[in-house]
Amino acid sequence: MATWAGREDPSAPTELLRLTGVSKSFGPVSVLRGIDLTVHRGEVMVLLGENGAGKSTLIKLIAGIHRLDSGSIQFDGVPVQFHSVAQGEAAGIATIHQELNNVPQLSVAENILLGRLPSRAGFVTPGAIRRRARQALARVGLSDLDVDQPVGRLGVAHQQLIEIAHALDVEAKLLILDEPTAALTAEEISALFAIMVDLRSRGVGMIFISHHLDEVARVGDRVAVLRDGDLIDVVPADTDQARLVRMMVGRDIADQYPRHRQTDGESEVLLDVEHLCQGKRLLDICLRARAGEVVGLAGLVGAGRTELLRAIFGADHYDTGVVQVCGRRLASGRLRQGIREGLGLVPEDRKSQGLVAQASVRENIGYATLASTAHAGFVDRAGQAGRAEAVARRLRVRMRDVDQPVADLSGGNQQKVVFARWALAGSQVLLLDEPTRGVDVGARVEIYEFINDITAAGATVVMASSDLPEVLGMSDRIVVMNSGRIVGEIPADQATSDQVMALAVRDVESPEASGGANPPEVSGETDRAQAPNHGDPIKDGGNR
Amino acid sequence: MSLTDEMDTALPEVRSAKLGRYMLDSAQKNGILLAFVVVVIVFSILQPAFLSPSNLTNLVLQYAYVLILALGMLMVIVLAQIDLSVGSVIALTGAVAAVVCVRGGAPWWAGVLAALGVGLLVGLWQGFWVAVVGIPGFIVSLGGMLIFRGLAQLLLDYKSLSPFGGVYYDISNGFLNGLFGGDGFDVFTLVIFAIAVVGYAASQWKARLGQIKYRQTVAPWPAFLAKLVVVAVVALAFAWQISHNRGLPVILIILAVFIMVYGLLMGRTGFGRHIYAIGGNILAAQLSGVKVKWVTFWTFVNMGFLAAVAGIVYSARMNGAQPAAGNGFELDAIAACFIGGASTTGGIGRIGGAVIGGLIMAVISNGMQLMGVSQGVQPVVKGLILTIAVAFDLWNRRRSATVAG
Amino acid sequence: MTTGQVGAVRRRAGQDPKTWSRRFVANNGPLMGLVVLCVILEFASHHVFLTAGNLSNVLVQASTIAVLAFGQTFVIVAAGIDLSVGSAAGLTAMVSAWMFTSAQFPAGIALAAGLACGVVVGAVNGLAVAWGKLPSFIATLAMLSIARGLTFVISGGKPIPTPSSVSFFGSMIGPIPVPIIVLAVMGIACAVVLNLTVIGRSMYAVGGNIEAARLAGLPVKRILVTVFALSGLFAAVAGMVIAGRLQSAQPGAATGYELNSIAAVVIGGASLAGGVGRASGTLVGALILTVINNGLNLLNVSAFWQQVVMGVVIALAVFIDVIRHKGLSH
Repeated sequence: MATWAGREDPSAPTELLRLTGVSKSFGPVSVLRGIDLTVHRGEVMVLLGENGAGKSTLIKLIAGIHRLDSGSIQFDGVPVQFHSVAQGEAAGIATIHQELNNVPQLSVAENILLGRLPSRAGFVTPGAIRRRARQALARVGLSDLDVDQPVGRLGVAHQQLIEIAHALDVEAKLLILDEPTAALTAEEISALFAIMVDLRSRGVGMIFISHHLDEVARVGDRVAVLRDGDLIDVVPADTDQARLVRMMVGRDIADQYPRHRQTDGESEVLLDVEHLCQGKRLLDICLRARAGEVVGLAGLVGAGRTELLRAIFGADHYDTGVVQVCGRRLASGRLRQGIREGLGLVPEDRKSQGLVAQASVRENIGYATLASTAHAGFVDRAGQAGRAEAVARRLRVRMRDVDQPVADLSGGNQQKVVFARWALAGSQVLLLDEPTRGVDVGARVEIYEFINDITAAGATVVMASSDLPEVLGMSDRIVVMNSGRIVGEIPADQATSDQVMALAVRDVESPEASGGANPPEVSGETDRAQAPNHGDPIKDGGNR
Repeated sequence: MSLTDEMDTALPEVRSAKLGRYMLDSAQKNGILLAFVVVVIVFSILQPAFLSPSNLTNLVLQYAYVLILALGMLMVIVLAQIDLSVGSVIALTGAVAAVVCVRGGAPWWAGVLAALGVGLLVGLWQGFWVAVVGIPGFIVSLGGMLIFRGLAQLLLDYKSLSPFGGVYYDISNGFLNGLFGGDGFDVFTLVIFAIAVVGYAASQWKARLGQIKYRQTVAPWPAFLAKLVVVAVVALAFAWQISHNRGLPVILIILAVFIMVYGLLMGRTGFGRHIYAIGGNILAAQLSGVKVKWVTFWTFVNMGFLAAVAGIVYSARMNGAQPAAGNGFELDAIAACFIGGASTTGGIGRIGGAVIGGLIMAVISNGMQLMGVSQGVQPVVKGLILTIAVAFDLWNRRRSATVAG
Repeated sequence: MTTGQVGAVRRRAGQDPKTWSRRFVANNGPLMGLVVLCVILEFASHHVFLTAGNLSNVLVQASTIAVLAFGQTFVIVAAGIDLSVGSAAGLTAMVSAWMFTSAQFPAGIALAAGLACGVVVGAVNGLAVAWGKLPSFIATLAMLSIARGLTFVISGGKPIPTPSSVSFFGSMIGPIPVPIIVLAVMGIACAVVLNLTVIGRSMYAVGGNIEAARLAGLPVKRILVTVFALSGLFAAVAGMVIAGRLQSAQPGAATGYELNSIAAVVIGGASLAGGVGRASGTLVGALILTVINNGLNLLNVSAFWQQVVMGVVIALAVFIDVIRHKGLSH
């Protein structure tokens, strides 16, 4: 594949951005340590790293959202220290953020120009706003969009493109793209890359964050790999993908996923979901999970994985369908009934959904069992403390004691506390949503060991994850979701990342593309099926 | 170019809505307006005196403060904040004006300036705590409620101070009339209203042309015309009635100016649009370089300013300052905004809506007073209205969320 | 502070006595403030402050605010706010007085009806917040207005004499004024509920992170209704104390007390962001407010200044709250 890295023009590209010894900590947690990095004009610098490696923090430092603890930033030859986004933008740094950052109530045009609405004598000029918004939209291929409608009415992909248009409206010298492709279709991604090619030819420097290694070679010039806050190396973009992965994770991928697979395929069905529908978000979902099994849920952001887990758990209502846990039917939206029957959910964002930050480890572990262990409304304090201590030790939660506020723990240990809650409750069906997001490698392995333990003891796990190697490495069976549907099911020991991605990005809006195991186009595409514990599944995405 | 020509050339590009569909949409969108009409009809049936010239005049004079407060409160609420101190600020600023004018014998404008200055100081104080320190607005203003009430009582020594008299009194009780004569009614009032109606029609027409130019969905031609006619008829009927009483109240002109200024401020200035952005998604606003603290700060300063205006208007109407003035007015203003379609989560709400909401509160208060409803029932009714208005907003949003999802 | 908590603090602080003492001061700032305040007043008032008579007076004065604040503590721990406690106190006492005087019910039933009325007022707030999804300050602001209006409707704007069952709340048992006993009982009840019961611990979870609490299987709506109902019940008890001391239910009784109750809770170390707060802290907060008032009286400061001082104290307490919790997250 032709990549940009090998381009024939080495005519000494001038330096645009230079970071020297950049460090940043949040409280006691050191997020970045001594980063030295340069980006040149007309260069796409890809930033690679696992979740929590410090990529987002690094770009937020450059954009002026966070402030440096130490080190210096030189932009366009001048030492800078931006105190606000506006200062950064004024200097020529535009950012496309990972999260959708629209104001849903404001119009498309106002969102594109937010923070820099053109005005005359204090009054905004609707004509100029519409004109500039149209120009920016035309560059992302949305020239016929009604710029006066509220952004909240648009779909996720359009909102993402508006986000990009927002950044393109700035005459940027440096454009930072933080996972802009997560919500886009293949076609839209190609359009975005075309824009990037155009910008690069005009001398704009870019920092591009992506989790898709094939995108690295497609758009990147050089790759900077971050791991746990350190810059490991800067290498050309055509570097062998296996080597990139090794740099990212620090060891071979096979060691990372210590899944002990069970062999019997006919154990008891613990979770049985039939024809589950919820608006346009979930369409006729059928899913079974057996004792001892880990079912991986793969798919793009917005494919409906989180919605599915929440609906099964009872956190949200569904319209039609049946959910059975251990043979008992659950009513829609009856969360506590589900917990009683053995469900447990580790939500995608532990800070906002999983933990009460000020409360102690003991309290956080005990919430699901608070009422069932109480006597006449009084909490069984001693008993709960003892049980919480035991289960925390089993999960190797690193803490002073169980009375320590959970806010003081590291991300990995916080996540273990959420797991411990369901371990204490004896959940038989554990629903995991991005179980290792923002979790360091060590704690990750301990969480995987816990998953092995409970499945070996006869529980079942349904695990949604955007981390493809994790899905491939830890699941027994992979179910791929796409636009609210289940579009395929692959036994993990035959699955490749290509296969899963192909299903996840396929256009399923057409009626004939309905779900089913191993659709023909997928099996046709993959030329080798490889067990991930024998090698590196990401290699299959390679292009040599 | 004739009108029909213009329509013909414009039409192929216009996404003109179907009439029936439009009626349904606008009934939903203008639910507040319908509610207002219903409330007016109900009270005019229950109490025929409600639509009399003297009562309509009285309505304007007595409840102008609600509308003024609602303007500032709307901005605060769109920002996803709240200000509970406005009632106390009314008492304080009224007290300041009374101390300057009545006790000090200074001219009326000195009292007005002093009151406005104190209002700005109040706004600076609360804006500082909310914007710079980051304390939730409702708690800052809860403290402010106590502080400013205490200061008002301190200034007035727990006694009322009156009378203002003169020009100050006329701010809320004066009339402009007799300029063009008239037999039993005031021609001047009618002329002013006629000009206002024409201006309204012209601005609507211009806006429509603009929408057509940018190929947006516009109201069907008959509906557009019908709306103009209804507005004109209602406005002129109102003008006809009050012209038979004492003519055009000064306060009505002041109100009109404030409503227009703040309508422009919220709709057309960067400052106003940034208020919407912050209330809608503070993170997005921050990441887009909107000066969140700066906008928040000045929104609260502005609230202090408008509370002072309301304090002046109210004390002028009462022709004196009382330590207990403005008690519970925050409820009127907050309810006005929520009735007018503002959302508790911020980012939504229009000046026009808040004005109609304020009118509904005024009509209900006035109507209950006319009917001789007991003093105790009024707060009960207002509390219920506030609850229902907010509950309606939530219900509406949840419904639209499920439709969209 | 219980010995368990002292133990926990000591464990956290390690062996260094210096950090231990610093931590004790940091964790008990309000208590330190109260002590300093008392010492200053003792000297400024020429040794009138620390007399048995005056201290008993302070406790009696503190009882209404403290009881309201204990109820408010539940709500604030659960990340809500209850602006209706003052009105609820006025209404409940009025209901009791009216039941006895106009409806001729026995005194005991009249009292029970008043207390039940408090629970109902609170539960309605709770229902509006939990099921109606109204922000608590809106729901309770409306209730503030409604309850006060109903008080005027019932009483016709005139005070009504209280039945014996309510007057008891203002009387003495031997040498001890009943309000002080009520203060102690309600304080202990508040501490027990918050620390030892399932509902109490759940309040902290709901206030700390309502979504996490829900996903952990806590009955969030039921908890919220209970929280507000408890606040209403405590407000009713406070209303009885106020009416009992005056021997009559006043239509304007306890107006504006919601502010003082919130102030007491916040000064006592609770966070308006929810999830933090203790009964002992609230008691200290209520005592600080009362002592300030008492001191200003002893020093012959005008009553109007007292309101201003109170407002500034609230502002300061909230300021400290915000600083404290900014420090906690980063």
